[in-house]
Formats: sequence, C-alpha cells, structure tokens
Amino acid sequence: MNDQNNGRVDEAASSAETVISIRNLSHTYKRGNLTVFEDVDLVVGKGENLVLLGPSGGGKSTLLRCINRLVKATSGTINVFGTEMVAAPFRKVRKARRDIGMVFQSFNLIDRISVLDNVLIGRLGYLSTARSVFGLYQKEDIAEAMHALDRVSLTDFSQQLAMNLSGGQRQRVAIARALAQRPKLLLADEPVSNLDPLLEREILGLLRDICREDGITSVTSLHDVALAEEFGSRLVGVRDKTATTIEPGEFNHDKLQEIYGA
Amino acid sequence: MANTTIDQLDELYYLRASDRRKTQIKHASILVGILAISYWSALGTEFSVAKFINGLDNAYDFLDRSLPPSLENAHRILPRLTQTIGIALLGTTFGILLAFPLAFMASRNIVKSALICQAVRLVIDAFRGISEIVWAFLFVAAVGLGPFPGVMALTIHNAGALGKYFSETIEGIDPGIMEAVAAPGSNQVKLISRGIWPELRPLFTNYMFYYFEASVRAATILGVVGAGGIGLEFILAIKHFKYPEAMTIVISMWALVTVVDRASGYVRKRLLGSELQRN
Amino acid sequence: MVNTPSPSNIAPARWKPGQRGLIGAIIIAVYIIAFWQTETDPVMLVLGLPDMVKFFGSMFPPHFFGWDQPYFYNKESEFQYVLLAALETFQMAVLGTVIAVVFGFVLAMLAARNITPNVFIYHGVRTLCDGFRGISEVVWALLFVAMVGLGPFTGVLALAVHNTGALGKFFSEAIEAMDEGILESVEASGATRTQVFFHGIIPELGTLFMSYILYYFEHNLRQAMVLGIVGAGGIGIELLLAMKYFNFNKALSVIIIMLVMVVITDRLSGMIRKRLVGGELVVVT
Repeated sequence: MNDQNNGRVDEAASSAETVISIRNLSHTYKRGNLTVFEDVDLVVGKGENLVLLGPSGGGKSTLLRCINRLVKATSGTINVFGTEMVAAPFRKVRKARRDIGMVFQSFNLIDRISVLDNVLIGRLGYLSTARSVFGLYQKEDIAEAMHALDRVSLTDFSQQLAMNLSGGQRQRVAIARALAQRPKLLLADEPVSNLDPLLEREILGLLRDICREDGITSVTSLHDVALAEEFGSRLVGVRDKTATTIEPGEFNHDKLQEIYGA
Repeated sequence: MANTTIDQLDELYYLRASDRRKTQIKHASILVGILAISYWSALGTEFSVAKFINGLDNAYDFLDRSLPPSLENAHRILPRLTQTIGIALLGTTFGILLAFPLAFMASRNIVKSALICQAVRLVIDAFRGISEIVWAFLFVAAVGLGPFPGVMALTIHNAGALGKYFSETIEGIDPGIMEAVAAPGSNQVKLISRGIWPELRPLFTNYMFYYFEASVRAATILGVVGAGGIGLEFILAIKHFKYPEAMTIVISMWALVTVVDRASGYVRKRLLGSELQRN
Repeated sequence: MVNTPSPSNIAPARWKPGQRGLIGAIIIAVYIIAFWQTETDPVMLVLGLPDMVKFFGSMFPPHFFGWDQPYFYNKESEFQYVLLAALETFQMAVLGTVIAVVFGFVLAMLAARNITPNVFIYHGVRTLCDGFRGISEVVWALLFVAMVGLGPFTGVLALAVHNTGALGKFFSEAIEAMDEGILESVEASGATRTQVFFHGIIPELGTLFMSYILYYFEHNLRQAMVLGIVGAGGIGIELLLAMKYFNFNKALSVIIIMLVMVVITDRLSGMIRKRLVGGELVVVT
C-alpha cells in the first residue's frame, strides 16, 4: 500500500520543488524498546501545508521532531533543503535549523523575559556566538523581530513580560519567534491543543495566511479531524507505526474520525 | 498583514532600544563589579596563573611520589573510618537534641518575649557561624586530644545550624494552625507535639539527613586538628611524608562519603515515602 | 494521576511489626558501637565540664589592642594584621567561589543528561565532580600545600576545586530538572550550545543559580577561615598562633572577628536571596 501511495505522492510533488524527502524512517525509543514508527516514506513539496493527523501518542509529534532533529531517528534518511538531517554533523544541522521555524504545543516561551526578547531568540541562528553571549543583537535583528511581532499584531506588547500574556497571545509570540528566523519551512506541533477552542481557528488561520503570503512550506501535527480538513492542503495519517497519505477521495469525515480521531 | 507603518516600527524600535540599553547597562555594571572584586581578590591572595603552571610541575612530582596508593597501614584506617562515622552520628544526634529547645526558644510564635528570642538567636548564630573545625580546635584545647572533643564540636555546630533552620520553619507555620490547637486550651507541650510536629516532620527529617551527610564530611577532617577520626591518620601521613598512604586515606575518605550519601539517600526515600503518603 | 492514599496504598512502604523490632535493635547497636568507638562517655562529659568552663572562661575578656607576645615568624603582632588576615580570608572566598562558578557551569553543561554531547562525557564529568566534591576543602588544601606551598593561593585553589565539583553537580541537576520545552525551542532556532546556555538556561534558572552561589559563598567564607589553620592563608593562622602561645584572650578576639564577618555576610546574602527567590532558599543535598 505504501508503494502505491509513494507513486501518487511523487507525482504530486514533482510538479513543485521538494522541500522534505523522508525515506525509510524508523524510530525506536531505547527505553522499553518502543517502536514509534517504521519505514516511513514521505515527500513534501514547496508551498504545501501538510497536516499529520493522528491520535495523541501515535507518533506524529516524534515524526515532526525528526525533521529538525530535535529527535534523532534510529534509521532512515530525512533530506531537508538538501541537508541530510539524520546523520549530519551538528554544525550542519544547526545551519539547517535556521531555515526551519517551529511552534510548540505548550508555547515554550521564557516567562520571565519580555516578548521582544523571546522573539529575538529566533535570531540566534544569525548571531555570532560572541555577540549572543552579551545579548548584543544587531539593528537588523531587532527590526526583524518587530516586523514579526507586527505580523501577529502584538507590537504593543513587545516590552511585556511573557508571563503576563494570555494563551492565545503567547502562541502568537511563539509564531513571531519562528517568523523572525525568516524560515522556509514551518513545523507546528499541536499548536492549538493548549488553547481555548475558540482560538483554534484563529491561530491556525494566522499560520495558514502567513505561510501563504511568505511562500513558507508547513508541516503541522493535529489530532482534530475537522481542523485538519479545514487547514491542511494534504493530510497524512500517522498511527500504528506507519504514515499513510489520505487521498482527497478518502476525505470521509466520519471514517477519518474513526481511524485517526483523538 | 502589516498593521503599522514603517515609521511607527522604527519609532517603536528606538523606544525598545533605550529600554534594552538600560537593562544591558545594569547587567554590564554588575558583571564589571564582580570582575573588579575578583581582580582585587586575586591580588590580595597572590593569585597568579604563572604560579599555577609552575605548580603543575610540583603537582606531577607529588603525584609521582604518592601513587600508587599504599595499603601499608590499612589496618589502622578501618577502625578510624568507623570512628569517623561514630563521631558524625553522635554529633548529629546530640546536635538535633540540642537544636530543638534552642529553636523553640528562638521562635517568635512560641516564645512571646522578643528579648529571649534575640538572645537565643545570637547564640544559635554563634554556634553556627563558627566552623566545626574551629570548634574542634577549641575543644581539643579545652579537654585534650581524642574523638570526644570532635563529638562536642559537631554537636555545638549542628545545634546552631539545625536550630536556625528549625526556628525559621517554626516561624513560618500557618498561624491558623497555631490558633486551632491553642483554642481548646492546651498547654505549650501539647501545642508543640500535636499542632506543630506533624506539619514539620517531613521537612525536618530531610534536613536532619542532609546534616548527617554533612557531618560525616566534617568528621573526616576533624582529626586534622586532633579531634579523632580518619583526619588524624591523614595529617600524620602528610607530616611524615608518607604520601602513598595519604592517597589511600584520601580515597577512603571519598569512598566513605559516597557510601554514606547513598545509604542516607536510600533510608531517606523509604522513610519519607511513607511520610508523604500518610500526609 | 495521583491516588489519594487509602490504607492499602500506604501498606507497602511501612515496616512490618517484626521488622520494626529488628531495625530498632540495629539502631541501638549502631549507637552503642558509636559510643564505644568515639570513647564518648556521659561520665567523661561531666568530669570534663569544669575544664571546659575554665578554658572558655579564660578566653574572656577578648583582647583587642596592644598585643605584645612574640610570634613564631617575627611578625608585628598588631591588631591590624588580624584585620588584614580577615580581608585575605574574604578575598580567598570570593576568588575561590568565582573560579568555581565559571568551571562549574562548564562542567554542568557536560554533565546534564539533556545537553551533554555523549554518554561517556556525561559519566566522566559526573564522576569528576563527585571526586572533587567528595574530598573536603581542608584535604585539598593539605594536598595543595604539599604540592605548591603555603599561602592564600593554595587556599584559593582548594576552595575552587572542591566547589567546582559541588556547583557542577548542583547546576547540572538543576538543568536536568528544567522544562525541556524551553531547551527544545531555543535549539530549534539553530542556536549553538553556548547560545542555548545563555539564552535558554540562564534566563530560566538564573535566579536559582544566584541563590545557590550566594549560599556557597557563605559556606566558603567559613571554610576559608579554617584553611588558615593548616597554612593555606586567611585568618585561621592567627587563631592557631594565638592558641599555640596560650593567648586565649587574643584567640577570642580572632573568633569574634570571624563571627562578625560571617554574620554580616549571612545577613547580606540572605537579603539578596530573599529578593531573588522571594523567600528563604532551603538547601537540600
């Protein structure tokens, strides 16, 4: 079944530039010998908004983290913008990460510093180590950060401490942080799971619009089928140790809910 | 999606820049201050990297003479080790016994007189502020050599350290609990044993174990000033230039401390495990 | 996920009645051995009491001025030298702590399971820290004196080495306990390990680190005073000499100076720590 999917996936992607190419990816946790997924093949083309759909704990977050090597997969290859992420030396991984922005489920902001300082963390990849030790960001860095805050409409909050913001605002700061990197790829790990249901569509819409405007490719992991259908340009179901593309023809909401619903 | 014009962004940037500058200057001056004090300290202590590098030669020579560690007088080390643990054990136990009354007398919410509190606090501070080794030194001068002055020294020092911590914890108790226990008309003793003790037990236990471990560390060196324990063997070995033996002793000190740490941690877990569940 | 304790939950961790008796007996036996080994004797205590009172009594009143007993190495036995020695003690503590903080951070970055480059380095550095910390400052001082000679420089080295181990261990444990997510997010933006340290770890754990550094500084000041007794610099030597020449009054004045230094430092450090953490920091392990 994987071969057939591969054929169609390649067809769809060959018309656009390939951003991520995953082959034979497997990951097993050493502790308890738990295999999260095995032999996953996946190709993501430029401009796509891929959604990894699956139940919590099904492996989609792990798969996502393999892409920027926050998790080092046990076997297989992941090629992102020409860098092979699984085996590459740390230097190269770092450089590749500059182009990959990531947004997390629990926002992961540093509460006791300002919003602006949080966004500036996105610029660390462009800052020499010496300057970063003293926090001496360049003018361009601060301009980029402010620009990013402007995209998420939070410029007025730039000097506020992150801990004073609401959940939705925090996630927007996190998005600004990712944007400040001027990424070509955006990874989002369950970006709305910790938010009020009312904010889900707002944040996902914000992400989609920004990606569209800037030509950023995105891979998002979600467990809500309705959201996945609405905001993803292509769906990949992750469960039972495999990842399978869901064809537009198979977009039967109830069936998907049954298989992949949280 | 831009909501603000380029000019507004620029203006915001300059505002932010001056705010950032302020914090940066604050941090920078603290750093400079620390560097200055360090440099002054380096001068005062005749610290020099050159000396250190020269010292490395001597260090190599020393290691050459002191390795491999010799087991010549091992038969003397073992009893000294048990003596060391003994000193620590008794020193901690008596220290705890002494710390309780001191702590209660130093707590504002138990003793109403501010004068007594301050006076006892002063005593506690004095006991604690003077290092165990200095106390040992003094007690050796007072009663002679041997492990006994070591026990006394640890007792006094621990009474101070534990007493200080205990009294701070007691003062931190929710006054509501104090009232609730005082209401039915109980006396001081009842107040303490029923109202305060159950609250405090887990914290105190933790601290007592921590201080036992610290006491073992201290007990290993009390011998250096003649107060018994393995430190005595160590200083003798050094003074007689028997460096290989000294190395053995150092290794045994480290082993003792590590074993005690592990054992104490284990007992602590078992004890507190049931405590936490009971609470 | 937390179960409220019910009788069946509590049972496993409790001692069985038979075990209780056995443990009680072991504890009593341990204490008896301790008494025997340390030659401690309630009788001795009572007999020794008058001696102790006499000794401590002879130290009063403290003698602060006009010292005129000859010292071993011909130093003018003026009060100002004691003050200078006190200053030296302070400087030893400062420098020893500062050096230990710098190297402690470096070691901590290698010894924290979530940031260390590989397992071998992790275990190696952990053991190194253990070794440094397990050997008391006084023992280090004696070893360094044998290697490098007497003087405050040796004392600084001893303090630095011991505390590098202690701080390295503590810092690495704090790093291991911190929120993984923050480390992930800083790493994800392409930061180097140094950048992760300064922009992820320090902002999050900075105040905690500061509290511990202050606590250790207090501790080091007390230890620095002791190091002088074995010749590694500081005010300890003055105490040693005073006692050696039976100048108990001078000894008391030295002790008083030591106390004053300690109390001032404790109070100041306590104030700063309260501002940082918003409450007294309880140091456990």
